[in-house]
Parts: sequence; C-alpha cells; structure tokens
Amino acid sequence: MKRVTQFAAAAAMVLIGAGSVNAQSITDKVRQRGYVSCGASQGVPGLSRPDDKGVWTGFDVDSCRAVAAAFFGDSQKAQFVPLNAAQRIPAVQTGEVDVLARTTTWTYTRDVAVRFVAINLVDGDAIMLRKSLNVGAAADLEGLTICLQGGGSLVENALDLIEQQNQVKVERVYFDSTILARDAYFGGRCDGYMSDGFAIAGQRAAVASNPDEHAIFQSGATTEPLALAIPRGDDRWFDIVRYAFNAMVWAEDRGITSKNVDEIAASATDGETRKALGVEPGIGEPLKLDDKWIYNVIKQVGNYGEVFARNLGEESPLKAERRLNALPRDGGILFPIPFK
Amino acid sequence: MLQDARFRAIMAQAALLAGVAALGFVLLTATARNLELRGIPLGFGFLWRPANFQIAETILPYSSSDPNWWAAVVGLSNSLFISVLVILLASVIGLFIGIGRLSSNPLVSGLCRVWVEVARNTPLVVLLIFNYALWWEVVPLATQAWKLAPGTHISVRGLSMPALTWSASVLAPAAFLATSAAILVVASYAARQRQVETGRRPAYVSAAWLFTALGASIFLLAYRDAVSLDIPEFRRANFSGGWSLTPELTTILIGLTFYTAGFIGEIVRGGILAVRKGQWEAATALGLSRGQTYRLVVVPLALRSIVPPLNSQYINVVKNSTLAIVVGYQDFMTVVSTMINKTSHAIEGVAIILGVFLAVNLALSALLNAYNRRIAIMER
Repeated sequence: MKRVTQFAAAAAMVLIGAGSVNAQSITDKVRQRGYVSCGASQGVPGLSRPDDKGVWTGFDVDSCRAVAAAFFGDSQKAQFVPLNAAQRIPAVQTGEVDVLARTTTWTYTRDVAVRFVAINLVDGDAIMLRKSLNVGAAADLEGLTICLQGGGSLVENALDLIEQQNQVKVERVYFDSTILARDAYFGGRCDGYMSDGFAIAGQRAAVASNPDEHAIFQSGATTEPLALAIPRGDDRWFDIVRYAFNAMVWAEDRGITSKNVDEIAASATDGETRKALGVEPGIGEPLKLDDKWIYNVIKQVGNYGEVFARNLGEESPLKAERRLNALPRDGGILFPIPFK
Repeated sequence: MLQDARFRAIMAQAALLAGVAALGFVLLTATARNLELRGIPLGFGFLWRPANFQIAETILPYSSSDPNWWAAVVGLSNSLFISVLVILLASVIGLFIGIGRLSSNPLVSGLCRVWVEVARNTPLVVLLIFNYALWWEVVPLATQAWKLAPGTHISVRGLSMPALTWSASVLAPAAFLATSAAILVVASYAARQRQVETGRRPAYVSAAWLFTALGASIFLLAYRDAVSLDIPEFRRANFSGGWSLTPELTTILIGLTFYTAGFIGEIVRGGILAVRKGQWEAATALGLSRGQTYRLVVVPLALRSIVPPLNSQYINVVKNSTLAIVVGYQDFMTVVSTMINKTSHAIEGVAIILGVFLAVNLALSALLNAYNRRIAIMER
C-alpha cells in the first residue's frame, strides 16, 4: 500500500509539472534565474569562444551580454551554452536558451519556429584554401575536397549553389562541429574548409599555424543575415532583446562610446539623449527596466562600432572590414531605431 | 469480495494499468498543447518532401533532391553497413583475443591483455578522435602518398586503388553468379545425401567447381570488352578514379572494432574458462591436438555461455555506431538530426530514431536468441 501511495504522489507531481510548463514567461524565468542563458557556438574566434581563462568573448557573445546589461544592469550576468548547428534551433524552441547569438541566418522556416529579433551581422560564405592551389574563381574548385559542418547549416546550401552555378563538382566531408571540420582541414584531410566569412577569417587569424599559407575565397553565392533569436511567446522579452541591441547601434549613430558616455550624459542638452541615458526619468518604464538600462549597455559593452572593432575589426587579429555592417551614412545597412 | 486475495491483486493491477495509461495520456496531450503554443508543428508529412541536403558517403544511391524518407533509409544503410562489418570483424578478432589471453606464451597473453585493458578503459569517443587524428599525424599528405603497389596509394585522403569497372548490364554477371551458386549448393547437398546413404563422398562438388570455373572463363571471354581497369590518377590535389576507402569509414571501422573486440575477448575468455576441465582431459585422451581441441570441443561448449552476453555487445555496436559523425562519417542519427534541423520536426525525428534503433536491436536480439536456442543443451 505504501508503494501505491508513493506512486500516486509521483504521478501527481508529474501532472502538476506537465500542466505548468508554459505558465511562466521568459522574462520572469530569466529574472528568477538571475542570468541570461545565451546559445553560443562551439568556439569560433571573434564571434563566440572562451578565452584562455574560460571567459566567453566575441561579437555574438557581446550581443548577448548587451541583453544582460540591459536586463540586470550587469553584462556579466550571462552564461553561454555551446551548441552545434543542429542543436541550436531546438535549444531555442524548448527554451533551453533565452537568446541565441550564434551566427544564425534568419530564414522563413526558422522564423516560424523561433522568433528572430534583429540582424546583428551580415555575412557571406567563405572557403579557406591553401594558397598553393591557386583558387581564384569558383571554377577552380573542381575536384577539390571541402571539410565543413553538416547538420543542415546554410553553408551546406551555399556549397550546393556554387556547384550548380559554376558547373563544378566538389567532394564533401561533413562533421558535426565546425571545429572538427577545421582540424581535419589543417591536418590535410581536405583542400578547403568552408564556413561563414567572419568565422573563416577568425579561424585563419587565431588557429592556423601560419596564416599566410591560407587564402580565403568568397564566392558571393550567398548573403546571410545573421540574427539574434529568442523563443516564441513573450513580446516583452522580444522588446528587451531588440532594444538592447539597438542601444549599441543608436550609440554609434550618436557618437556615444563606453569611454565618453559619462561625459555625454553630463553635458547632453537634447531631450532624446538625456532621456535615453537616464538623466531624465522614464526610458525604462515601458519595459519595466531601470532608467539606466541604455547607459549600462553602452558603458559595459560599448557601441556597435566598438564591439565590432574589438572582436572582428582593426583591434582584433581578424582585421575584418565592416562592409554592410555599418551605419547608412557609412554605406552600411544598420538602422538605429530612435529612442523616442 | 475484498477479502479475496486474487480479486484484490487483479484490482491493484487494473488500477496501476489505468494510472499508467492516464499518465501517458496527460503527458501526450500536454506535449501536444505545449508544442502548439510554441508554434512547433507535428506530423510526418515532411518525410515525402525533398531532403535538400547532401550525404558525403553513401552505400545506396542518393541525391539531395530525394525525399526525406529515402535520406533516412540511406543513413540507416550507412549505419547498418558499419555495424555488420564491425560485428563480423570484432567477433573473429575477439575470439582470438579471448583464446590468446589464456595462452601460456607470455607475449601473446600480455598483448591480448593490453588490448583488452585499453579497449575497456577508454571512452569510445576519445578512442575514435584519437584514431582519426592519427591519419594526419602518421600518414603523409596526398602529394607524398605512400605507394603500396602500382596504382595503390595511401595518404591522408585515404586508400586509393585500381578498380575493375563493368560497362555492360549488371544483369548478366548477376545471373551467372546466381546460377553458379545454385549449382554449388545443389551439388554439395546431393553429395551429402549420397555420403549418408553409401558412406562414400562422390566428387559432385569438385565437378561443380570445375563447371563454374569453366563457365567463368567463357563468361569473361564473352564480356572481355565490358571489363576495364580503372587506375586512380593524381590530379591537382587528390587521387581520382579507381576505388577508394575514406579515412572516415576506416576510422570508425577500426575504432569500433578495436573497442568491441576487447569486450568480446573477455566474454570469450569467460566462456572458455567455464568449460569443465574434464572436457579438456577427455579431448587430450582422444589424442586431439590443441587446435582440434579448441575447434571441436571447447568452442562449441563455450558458445553456450558466450552467446547471451554477446547479444548485448552486438546491440552496443549498433548503438555506438551513432558516434560515427564524430569522425565525419554520416550515420542514421546524423541524417535524421539534419532533417530535424531543416524541417523543425524534432519530436517526430527523435521518435523515428528511437523506433528504428529499437526495431533493429530487437531484430538482432531475436536472431541471436534463435541461434542461442539452437546451440543450447537439448534436454529430452
């Protein structure tokens, strides 16, 4: 009889648990947990990778830290979950991560499964090849072997597209992690290693034993809008993530950096800046956040230009150009949404 | 009626069953509702849509425009291919390791022991990644490939060797092979019957072989233009043409065989030790050599205690084959995971993975259990 009681109790607990799966909003869940759970890559230099002390750094990491800075007032209240290409969308769908900042291309199929919030980086596919192969055009890829991450990544599609458009045939070796694909390439298993452009530049700059031996071929077959994604069903969380990212773009547009933000807050005269930086009250109210939330993002993480320069641009080993990832006045497509 | 112990027992069982069914129902409906709330669609319709992804290495013909269900079948064939090869190789090698460990030669027993200890005490993933890394640590680049024989090279790109190609219809050789096999089977059956009846074995089988050889020569002569030798050539960066074995397939085969053979070796050793000493002595008394003792007495007796644990090792091989993607070989699990990523049908995909592995492993178990019943001691 005792066993039956135990069983009934266990069953009741399961039932209660099953019933309340969706009762809690993401915003409440994150606040209760005390940190933002971010989906990251398995280690792509410049985008998301733990440094030698185990601290996650990179452009995507900073995009997620901005959310933590906005929500908790502390950019360190973010934890990172390494995910491969196949795991990332289910990890968002099931709510395992609150924000996915992991070079994920915004597509229709994915957007009806999760919620894309903002394009944080525009990239295209790229192939790293040994310079000795002299690949100058897509036609030169004929008969070569390419190592890449499988699992349904869009890079796979880009390679199919290159084959169709240029009437070439390449051999593929698929791995379940881009890291294994990279190591196989450096080991000589493949002639080329394919991934997103920034990721390729990062791997060459940070991992290749002699970066000068490797050339990067960009076919231009695809332009990928890489975006931040969140689970569906919480408009408040959507707003927080969207505007935490916008704070960085807006700050660059206004010339506000992590270094001069205090100065500007003290001296600003226009109403939008004074309100946005929390000098005048009210900016946090609609999102139920602190009035200093935009200030915190800029102070702790920096503006878009600073974050790009630090992780991917001139201050990083990658030395990547900004190209489309710039404000419209600089020839890019980053539109700051006014904080009005 | 409550005083009746049997009635009470039945009622308790019925209540338990109803409870489990209710729990299952609630979980299913809660899952369906939560999936709907999160915008995750349910249904198997995606299986008939084009897969739109490639599989690098396949046993069956496949292109990315084939439907998802065919991609899953192709992935399953990849998994079964490595599982079957590993089971066969690991069983043979495991048998020798088991016997070797009992050898009185310290070198043989020591080596077998090292094999067993390394295989049993290393995580399989580590073993596979280590094996795979060996390719580029040990084997030269394609430009400096080791030449084993004319047209046969081994390099970090794998083994590449000449292949016989057949340009005529495959029906002709298939028909020829089937006919020859049928003749051989019939001949050996007839010879056996004859031997039972008369005590003498007629030369039917030799005659059948002779006939087959003759047939083969005529066949090859008739079709000599259809056969050609395809020798791999080095072009730009790699060998192309001929027949090649990729490092990925080789690594998963060697790694998984090494690992499984270690476990099977221990099972075999245990089985041999379970054979009573009297059987050995009886065999010796009959004047059987050591090899004959093993072949005719010990192994058949040991099989009775070997087969049941072997069953679970074989099932482990099938399950462990899902690690193949770690070394770049796409198996069933990888293919279906890719499908899940592309279609967002995670629940259905996982259900397919579970269902298929369950079916494969239950079939394997049934097969081995049938074999086990055949070799078990018959009591009359």
